[in-house]
Formats: sequence, structure tokens, C-alpha cells
Amino acid sequence: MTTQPREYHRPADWPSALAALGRADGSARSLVIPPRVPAEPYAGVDAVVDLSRLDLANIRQTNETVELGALVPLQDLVDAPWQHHPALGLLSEAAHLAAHPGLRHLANVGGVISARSGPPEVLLALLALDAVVVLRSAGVAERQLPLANFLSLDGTPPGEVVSAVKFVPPTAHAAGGLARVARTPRDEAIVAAAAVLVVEGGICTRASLSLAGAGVAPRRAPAAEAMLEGQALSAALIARAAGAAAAGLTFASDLRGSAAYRQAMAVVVARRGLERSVGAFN
Amino acid sequence: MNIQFTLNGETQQAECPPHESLMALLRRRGAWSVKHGCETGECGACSVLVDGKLMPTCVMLAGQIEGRALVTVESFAPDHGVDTIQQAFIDSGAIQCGYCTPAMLLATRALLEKEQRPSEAQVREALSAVLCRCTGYKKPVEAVLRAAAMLRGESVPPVEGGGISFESVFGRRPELPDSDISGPAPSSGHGAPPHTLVTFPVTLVTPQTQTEVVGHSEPKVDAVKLAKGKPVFTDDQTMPGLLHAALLTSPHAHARIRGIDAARARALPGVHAVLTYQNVPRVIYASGGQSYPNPKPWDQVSLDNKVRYVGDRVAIVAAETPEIAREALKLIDVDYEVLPAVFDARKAMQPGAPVIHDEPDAVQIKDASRNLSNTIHAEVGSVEQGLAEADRVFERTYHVQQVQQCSIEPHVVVSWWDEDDRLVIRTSTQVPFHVRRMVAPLVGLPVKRIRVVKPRIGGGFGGKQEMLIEDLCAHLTVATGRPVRFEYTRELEFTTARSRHPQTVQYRAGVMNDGSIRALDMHVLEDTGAFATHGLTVCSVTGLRGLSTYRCPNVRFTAEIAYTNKPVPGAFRGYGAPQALFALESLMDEIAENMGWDLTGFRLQNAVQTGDPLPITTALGEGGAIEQFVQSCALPECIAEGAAAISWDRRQDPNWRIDPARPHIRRGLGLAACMHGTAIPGLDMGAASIKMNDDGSFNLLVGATDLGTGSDTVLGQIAAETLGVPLSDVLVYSSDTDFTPFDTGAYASSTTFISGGAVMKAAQQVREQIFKRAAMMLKTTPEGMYLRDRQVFTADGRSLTLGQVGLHSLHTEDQQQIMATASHMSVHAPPPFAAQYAEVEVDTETGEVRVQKLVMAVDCGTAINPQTATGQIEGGMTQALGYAVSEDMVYDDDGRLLTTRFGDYRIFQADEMPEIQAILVPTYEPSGPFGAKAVAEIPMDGVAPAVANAVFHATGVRIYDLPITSEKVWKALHS
Repeated sequence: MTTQPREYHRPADWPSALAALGRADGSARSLVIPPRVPAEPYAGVDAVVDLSRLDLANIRQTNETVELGALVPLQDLVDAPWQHHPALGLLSEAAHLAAHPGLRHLANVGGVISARSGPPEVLLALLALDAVVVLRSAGVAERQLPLANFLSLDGTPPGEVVSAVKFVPPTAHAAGGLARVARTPRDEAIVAAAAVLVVEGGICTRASLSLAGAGVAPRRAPAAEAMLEGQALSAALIARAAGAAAAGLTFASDLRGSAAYRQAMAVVVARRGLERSVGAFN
Repeated sequence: MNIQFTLNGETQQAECPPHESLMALLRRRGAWSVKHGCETGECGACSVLVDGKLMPTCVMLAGQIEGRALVTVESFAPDHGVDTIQQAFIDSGAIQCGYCTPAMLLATRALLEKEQRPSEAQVREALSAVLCRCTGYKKPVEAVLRAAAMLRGESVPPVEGGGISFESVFGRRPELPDSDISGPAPSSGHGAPPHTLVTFPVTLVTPQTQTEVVGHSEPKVDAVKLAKGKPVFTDDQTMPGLLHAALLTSPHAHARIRGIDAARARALPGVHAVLTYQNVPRVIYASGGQSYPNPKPWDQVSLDNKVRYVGDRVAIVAAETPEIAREALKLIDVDYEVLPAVFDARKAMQPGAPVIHDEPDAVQIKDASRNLSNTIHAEVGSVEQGLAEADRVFERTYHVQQVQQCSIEPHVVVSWWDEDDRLVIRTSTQVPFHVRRMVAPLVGLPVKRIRVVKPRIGGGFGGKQEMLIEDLCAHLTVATGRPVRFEYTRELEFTTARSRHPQTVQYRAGVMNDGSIRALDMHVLEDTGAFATHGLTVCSVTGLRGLSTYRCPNVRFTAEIAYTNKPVPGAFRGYGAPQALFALESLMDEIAENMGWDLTGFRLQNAVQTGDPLPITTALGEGGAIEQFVQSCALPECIAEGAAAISWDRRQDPNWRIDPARPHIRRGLGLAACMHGTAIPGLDMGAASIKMNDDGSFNLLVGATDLGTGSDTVLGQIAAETLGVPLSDVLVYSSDTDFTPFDTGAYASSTTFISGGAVMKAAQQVREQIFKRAAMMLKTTPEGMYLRDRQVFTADGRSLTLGQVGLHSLHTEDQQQIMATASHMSVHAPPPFAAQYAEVEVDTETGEVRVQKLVMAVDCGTAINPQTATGQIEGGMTQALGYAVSEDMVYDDDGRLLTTRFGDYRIFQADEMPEIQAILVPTYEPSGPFGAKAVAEIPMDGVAPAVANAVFHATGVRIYDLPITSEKVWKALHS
């Protein structure tokens, strides 16, 4: 196994890119950068494939969809026109927490999706927004996979490349909230939660809540969501839903905190995420 | 591969291997302002502007910049001079070590090109891309705002700091035009010291009422070159034939090496040497950079057949490229006999614990069979009797954690044979003279065949008060005959450099109902990791600092210093004092609370005052039994000024303590009183040489080591004030063991006091020579002469320029080099004093502690340079904040460090800092040059206890264990 890349490809089109990435031994990697960069990011990689000529660094928004190219820098999410939107602002806030500005200029959506580890907020926000991952592979039209499903895989399937992330823009009745516990204000979260609620006529018509912490990869909390949908929101209901969200999760201990502390804090951040969503309506 | 890009406006073609990082490419092409601080993009020191956006280059491949436009600081003012942003950083004192400065300047440019009138929040956001371990970000933020104003064409206020008023500081208006006045005698608060007080005469160089250089916020003498990103650091050079070193470290916490087979590594093309215990002489030493003879035990060798912690040295390789050197490490086959390991100091001393130092040639380990490196016992009065007499006895136990210095510049050294077959070691060290002396026996060379050069240092904080990697690099140069470069990665900095000693501190305090302290019994169990190095002396300082702030007739210090299989602690700013002060000031707070006493009143009732002896110093002084006395003290004023700045009276306001809008938040205020030391009495020595040039300027050569603190500037100011010239006429050079006189080094808060004393003496001698020369020229006598405005004046009003004097002495008549060398040591270690205050918000649901404001009022005597002094305070408080709430070296069950990158270890960045405020409370310290005491270390001491006390005030919960994490607070709140 090599310790460093011996080839650098900058393909001009997808067929070339997929050909370069399609090595049988899996030793080629697309050049997407996560906010938490490993100390040896290319260990074991024989060839890197720079996708910068494939027009993947744009945010495309229509009434029906928001598409984030795999190479969209996280800073572009921070600076996006929606940063003050009650629901989409969640994504800007999450991206802001992912890394310092220098790394945010460099790290991109594809890096977040592919790495899975590191600051969880962007994944939590995308999960809460019901995002899907767009995958490209040789000889096959692109396919879309719900982000939650994608994250349940061991990694990006062999031969496929993450080209974008898409989601339906939240309605005017949606609002989001993010909550976290961390050692310092900008440190990686010990545990974090993101919520998007749609409230129409006083009734929660859609609830999405996602959680993460060591040992618990970013995931939705369907039981909590089910408790909220169709209900008039109250502090008591939100508290019960938060408890349901945290129930059954098995956190791990790491350098930032113990599993037991995470378990207790999961309830708090889930509740606060939901409360902040409610607060964003006001 | 071939790439094309623009660098600072010029089209560049570069041939680079696919794996080459952009940082490596840029430095290879001479962009030395691009600095290596880590390998994960988290410190940002390597950042450049790519198409106008700041990006860290260590995590970018060179190929990524194809067709893009890059900007580095080299473009700001390519010729002489500086641009507006650089000038603002210089004026604001925003540059300390300067290692992260180029990246900060680029962050500033990117911001100001987008936003002409940025808010402070926007500035902090922009600067958060760059970690700074020196400044605390306060002055960089001020610099960016200043630069923005300057670029908008607005006038900016002058830099504060207008010299020292003789009348207010020295006590009386000087008689004119005498050359010298005496400082005030120490007041006799509790009896004058019984020995002769060594004092510096106040040097009057002007018939004005205030100093002209000392006491002014002069720009740092190295600020321009640092702002321009000049190649001034150890690694900012290239040499023909340079080899690159890589270190193989132990994956086991404790193991014997049964054998090493390096044949495959040696056979790898491009490898020039592989050194192991099998081919390096076994010479016992201690790595702490301390005076001769190094404190025992001596328990290290360059490469051993046993490893004692994960990260310990196994083998060192020199190869043509860093990549080949790293590849060679993988080809070294090591046969380990894994041994049981112990990671807890108490368990390490128990019978049956693994014996970490079973080697027969270790020197003076106290009890190797118990892993006991050293013990300490010191007592004044009778503690047991005092405790028996006390009305109340408080017994508490505190634990302080292991933390890392995190200088942004890693340890780095380059060694080579010079044309005279002497070994040159260019290294980022705080102790060049100790390094020379200590490396010599390890490589088998006499001291005279070694030259150590210390260029600028990118931060040290004690971590470079160690002969840490110079021996390995020297061994490789000896083995290969080639220049060798050896630099730690960030991971090695965490695993294999030094750190702060974790300690368990137990106090028993006996107090009387009248508020006096009858007895203090302090016991420390210190974990010195795998090697002793600074273990004994750090622990001694813990005792000194823990038992001298408050008057008490019966004090006792006992300590056990134990080996464990963990990475080795060493010197770290504060050197045992932060450990002591967390315990002491938490205890004082708790006693006062329990007894219903006023928190400040109790402290002031018992705190030492001017004239008080410090009896424990006799028993614990490293330089011998030299009893210390307090000769200047403004602790009461510090407490008062700090209280006003933090609005201490809010403490009793229930409406302030609870926020109705955030019912889970509680607010609190906390206080800590601090006393530190200045230098090691009877041990530290510094020397300085000053020579006069043809034009009346001066070269000041000092062995002192400016590690970013501004000490070169302060020393230059002392010389300039004494010689009646502006600072720009004093050319400061430090330090090179061939060309500068000896200095023990930059540690123990000694440079201004000790090295400054030497500078002052040398300058006074030069001044006398100038007077004699002027007398010869004017056919008069030196009596009544004084220096001012680059001239020497006679008593009858005639004058000569110093240029005339210089030319005359060197060229005209009775030719003579006007020059003097002086050395200085002191039997005094005058304590600076301080009050530190913290305002916190505690989230009672999560336990998160968010510090809102830190205030520190400091009596450091005369601040020779108020701007650099406040810079030390702000930066020190920021380091101390991390010590208080977040920083910790965390291990797994096998002794493997988990916090091996900045992101996981977490030091504060610009956009998460609380408000910080530094207040200088001037006194005149008679034993210091111009009345100066130390300022660099005391900011580390009081933040943690002040935060802990504020958390108690906010929540009623006391935390006895640093850092004060949210989990600990939450558990305490819910227990």
C-alpha cells in the first residue's frame, strides 16, 4: 500500500472522472475535503481525482429543490441568501459550526457527506431537511439515496461518487433549530440536535429531529417525530418527544465526555432544538 | 505534474509530485511566511489567500491551485516598509512571537477587502481562522479595527503608554541635572530585611520629569520583520545536502526492546542513517534546560533499549526527503517485550507496581523500586501544633490536569558541520546555552566545538526550556556528516514533547476566629511521567507558591514525585504555580465562605505586605537557602482596581445573577489573589554586551532568549534609556552561543529582571566611557555629564553628539572601542502580585460554563513596555482560561493519548473569547531595573480558581478538579 498519491487527475468530464475513480482496488479517491481533515488524508490512496472541472461547486435553488454540489464550500452555506431564513438558516448555522473560516473555504459538502465523522451539525441539518444524496457511477444514470440511508452504509458504494445533495425547500410554515453541548462555544459538539418543524394552524404538520454524539452517528428520531406530528405543540409534549428521541440511543465515551453525560444531554439538546424551532416562528 | 498559478501577481510554473502539499510547494519556492503549525489545517498558520479566500495550505495538494491566484504576506510591501495592515499590527502590539502573524494579516486583508467597517464580531470571526497562543487575540482584534480605520482615511489614536513619571513612581522629583537618583527604600511594613538590599540606581538621562524610552509602548524591535514574514525562524532556510529526520516512537506504554532490525530501512534508497540504542552512545542525562548541574535524577539516554510511554523514542532516521524518512520508519522491525504499565501516580508507588526505571545507571532516583523520583519536605514552625491550636481546620483535596504548551511553531532544529568542523545547532529553544552544554557529552564533543544559534521562536511557554530534540538531530549530523533538519509533527508535540505536571494537592488549613491563618499543611503528589526532568523543581515551586501568599506562622510542604508510563511533563509557563494557586485560592474562597468572612477582606487581612519575609523560600529555594522579602506590593490596589473593572458589587444583586429570559442560566463572579516570583534567586544569571558604533548607535548583544514575549525590545529600551538614545539606535541581537554572552535562558520570569539588570549595568559602564571620551574631547571632567537626545551634555551646557563621540573614539585619538560587558544575578526574587476576576454564566441544565469576562490587575513593578506587558497578561489569561475550562490531555486505558490534534485538544480561538481586561498597577521594585518585576507567568495563576469560585457563586457547586468541564459541573449540580 502506498503512503501517498502517485497520480493526480483533473478530469474534464464525468466519464473520465469515473474511469479514474473506478480502480478495482479502490485506491483512487475523489478530492472532497471534510471539515475535520485527517492528519494523513491520503494514506493508502494511490490516485486523487480532482473534480473541480465538473461544475460541482454551485448551489442551485428553485421552488422545487435546493441542490448543493459536492464541491460547494461550507462557507458558501454560511453566506447563502437563506442564512436568516427560519428553517434554512439552520444549515448556515450548522456550517458555521463545522470549522474555522479557513477550513470552511476549503472543506465542502461532499467532504462532509463522505467523511461522516467530525462536527455533526451539517449532517444533522441535512437530515432534518430530508436531504437526498446524488450518486454518479459509470454507465448508470445518477441515482438518489435518502441521506439517512446513505449514512447507514459502510461508506460510499464502490464505483460511485457523491455529486450533490438535494432537498425540497422548506415551506413558509417551517422553522428550524439547532442545539448542542460543547466544551467551548466553537468546539466539536459533545452531543447535538437539529429540528425542523412545520406548524400550520397551530398544529405541527411535520416534524423532523436529528441527533448525534460519540457512538451515535447522525440519525433521525422517528419516535419523537411521530409524537409531535398532528399535535398542537406544548412544552410538555416537546419534553416528552425529546425524551423519546434520546431513548434507546447508545452513546460512547470519548475525550469530550462520557456516554452517561451524552445520554442525559441528548434529552436536553433534543428539547432545545425543538424549542428553538418553535421560537423561530415568533 | 506541472501546474500553473499566480503567486502575488506573478505567473508561476511548478513541477511538483502529486502528493506535495501546497504548504511544502510554497515554502520550497521561498514563501517563508507560510508557516507549519499542524497537519490538519486547524491552526491556520500556513494559510494563504486563494482567489481572495483564506485557506490552510497544509491540507491542500499543490495540484489544487491550478489556474488559481495566491497571495502571501510577501506581497504586502515587497520592498522596504510595511503596508497599512502591517503597520496597524505593529502599532497595536498585535505581534508577539509572530509565527501566526502572516496568516492573521492575510485574514485581515480578506476581511477588509469585503467589509470596510467591520464589527468586532466580524473581526473575531475572520481571525478565528488562525490560532494564536501568545496574544489572547485582544490586540490583533484592535489592530484589525485600527487598520480598517486607517484604510478609511480616519485618524487613529496614538498608542498608549507615555513613559514613567519620576514623581509618581519614584517618589520624588529628581534633582537636576544629576546623573543618578536613588530609588525609594522599601517601606518597613513588618520590619526591613535584615540583609543588604541590592538596588539599582534609577538612571536619569534627561532633565525631564519622565523617562523617554522606558515605560513607553515602543513597537517591538522585531515587529517589522515578523510582519513581513521574513525568514527568521529556525526552519526558514534551506541548505545544500539537507537531510530530513523522522522519529520512530513506541506504540507501547512500557516495553523492553529485545531487538531492532533496521536493515530494511537502511536499504531504502535515500536513507542515510538509522540510529537506535544499538549505535548511539549511552550517556545518562536529564533533559530539563536548567543550570549546571542539572537537578537529579538523571534518568534519560538519547535512545534506550526500553520504552516508558506511548510516544517514547525508539529510532531516528535521516533521509533525502521527509517522505523517505517516514517510509523508512515502517521498515524498522522492533521486537518488543511488552511490560505491565501504570498510569496513576498513586498506584505507581504501591508495592507490586511495574518498575519504570530499572536501569542500573540512572543517577539518584529517590526510590526506583517505588517509582519515586523525588520527595520534598520543608517546614517552618510547627504545623501540627498550629492545627491543634486553630479554631477551625479545613481539609480539601484538589486535582489539576496535564496540559500542553501548544506553541504554534513545533520543536524544530537544524544541525550541520561548519567550515571549521564545528557542530552548529540552529534550534527553536529558550535555553541555547544549556542546550550547548547538555548536547556536548551526548554526542561526544567538547562544548567549544558546538555552536547553538537561536533565531526567532514561534512560542515556547516553557516547552522549549528543554534539550528535547537537539541531541537526536546532532547524532544524525555526526553520523552522516550532512546537515539534518528535524521537526516535530503536531501529534509528536502532544505525545512526545513536554506538558504541565498533573498534581493532586491536599491542604489542611487551620484558621482562627479572628480571621488569621494559623497553619497551612500542603501535600502534593506529582506525576512526572516517564522521566523526571523538571519534576523536582516544578514541585518545589508549587510549594513555594502555595505557602507564601499568606502570612502564616506554621507551614509545611511535603511532596512525592512519581514516575508513570505517560508522556513527560516539563516546564510550562507558571512552573508549578498554577497548580498551587488553583488549590490555594479555591481553599481561601471556601474558608471565607464557610466562616462568613468577606472574600477580599479575608485575603487582604492575611496576604503578605511590603516588608514581610517569605520564610518558606529558605526551605524550598532552588538557588539555595536565601530568604526572600516583599519589597514592593500593590495587592490591595490590584484587588480594588480589579473589583471596579469587573463590577464586583453585582455579586450581591439577585437580579443580575438570574436572567429571567434564560431561567437555566446562573451568573457568578469569582476572585483569586496571586503572587508569583521573579527569577531564581542565587541561580539565574544573564549577561549583556554593548558596543558603540561610529554613528553613535549601539549594538546590544544578549544571551537572553526572546521567545515572542518582547524581551529583546524591553532589554533594548533599558539600554536606550540609560544611553539617552531612541530605541531605534539600539540594535538588539539574541542569541548565539558564539557571539552573545551567557544567559541561563528565558524561564522563571527572569529576563526583564535578570537580563535587564545586566543590560542596565553594561549600559551604565558604556555611559561612563562616553563621559570620559567626551571629557577628553571637550577638555573637561565627566562630573555632571548626562546623556539625552543622542548627545552628551556637560554640566556647563556644552554638548557633543554621540556620533561625534563614536567617531572620535574609533578613529581620531587614543582610539578605543567603547564597549562593556556586564553580568547580573540577584539574591532577590521580588514577587509580582495580581488580582484576577472572572464573570461566568453557568447553564444549569448542561453544566456548561461560559466565561464572560476576565479581569487581571497586576503589580509588576515598572512596566518597561506597557504594551508588551499587557500583551503578556492577555495572552497568559487566555492560556489560563483553557487550563480552567477545557484543555486536558486525555488517554485511553492503554496510555495512548487521545488529544493529538488541535481540534481535539482545543485551545481558544478568537471568536469564542470572553472580554479580557489587563490593568497595570505600578509600583517601584528596588531590586529590579527601573523598578521592574516579572509579568510573564503570573497571568497563568489565578484564572482557574477565579472561574471555579465564580462557578460556586453562580451555582453553589465547588469543583475541585480541573478542567471545569460541563460534565463535572452537571454531575455536581445533580448529585
